[in-house]
Amino acid sequence: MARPVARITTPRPTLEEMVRELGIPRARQKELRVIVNEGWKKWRAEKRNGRSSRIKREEKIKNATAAD
Amino acid sequence: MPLPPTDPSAVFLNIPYDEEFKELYLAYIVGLYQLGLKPRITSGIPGGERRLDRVFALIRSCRYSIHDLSRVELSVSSPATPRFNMPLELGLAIAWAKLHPKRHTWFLWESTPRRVQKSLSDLDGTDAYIHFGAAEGVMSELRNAFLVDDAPPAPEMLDAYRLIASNVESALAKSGTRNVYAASVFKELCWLSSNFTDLLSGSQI
Repeated sequence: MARPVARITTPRPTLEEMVRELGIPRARQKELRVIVNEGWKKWRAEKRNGRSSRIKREEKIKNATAAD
Repeated sequence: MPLPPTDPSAVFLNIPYDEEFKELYLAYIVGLYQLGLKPRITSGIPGGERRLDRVFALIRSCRYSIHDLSRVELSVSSPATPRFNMPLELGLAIAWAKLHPKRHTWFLWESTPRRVQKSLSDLDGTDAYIHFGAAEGVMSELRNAFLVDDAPPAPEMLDAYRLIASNVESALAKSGTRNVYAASVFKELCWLSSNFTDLLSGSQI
């Protein structure tokens, strides 16, 4: 049994190329840009919080183990 | 007659356009953008031509095609009927690739191992990529099917998927339709995917 595999050697299209091809009106792109900026800000904050609470949790376990 | 131009980064998505498939649909879009590829669906092309002509034109313009047969099943509403659109479009892609093997490569996708051997035994000898009906499965199998040197790691691809999935509602709220398969929404999902992918690739998190 076989599955085809594709080795992609063509250069990755740039963001500008991809966006241009989609042909979304400028006004709508502006609205979408707001969604992207807000979503990105929120996601980064969640990631940072998640990471800091994970570090805190790991430190707590480490301290508890050291105290034993 | 000259052959139509083929976009080397374009991937025709032959998928069911239904409510249950929404999650995997988004996973395909995000995953392909993460790999530097561009998804194409039939609703994304304009024109008043016959649907079959549009489908075939789209297949010919794409270097690759993904045929997800995981939902080839009997419809719930009466009369219970199997869905033949996806196998038919797969047949078109196979014929095109047989005629022009350097211009087109097709991939078979399923949710369950060995299901396709039962539903489409003519394809014996071709293994399907199995996504197990989950976005994670789509991402990992996309990485197996398309070998890209600078492909992001699988967890990063899933991160991108979650990030975009969590923002789809905001985009839909202003688009005037709830149909994620509508041509305009598909384009906007592509826009979001390419922009979030760009941000993620430069992120240090």
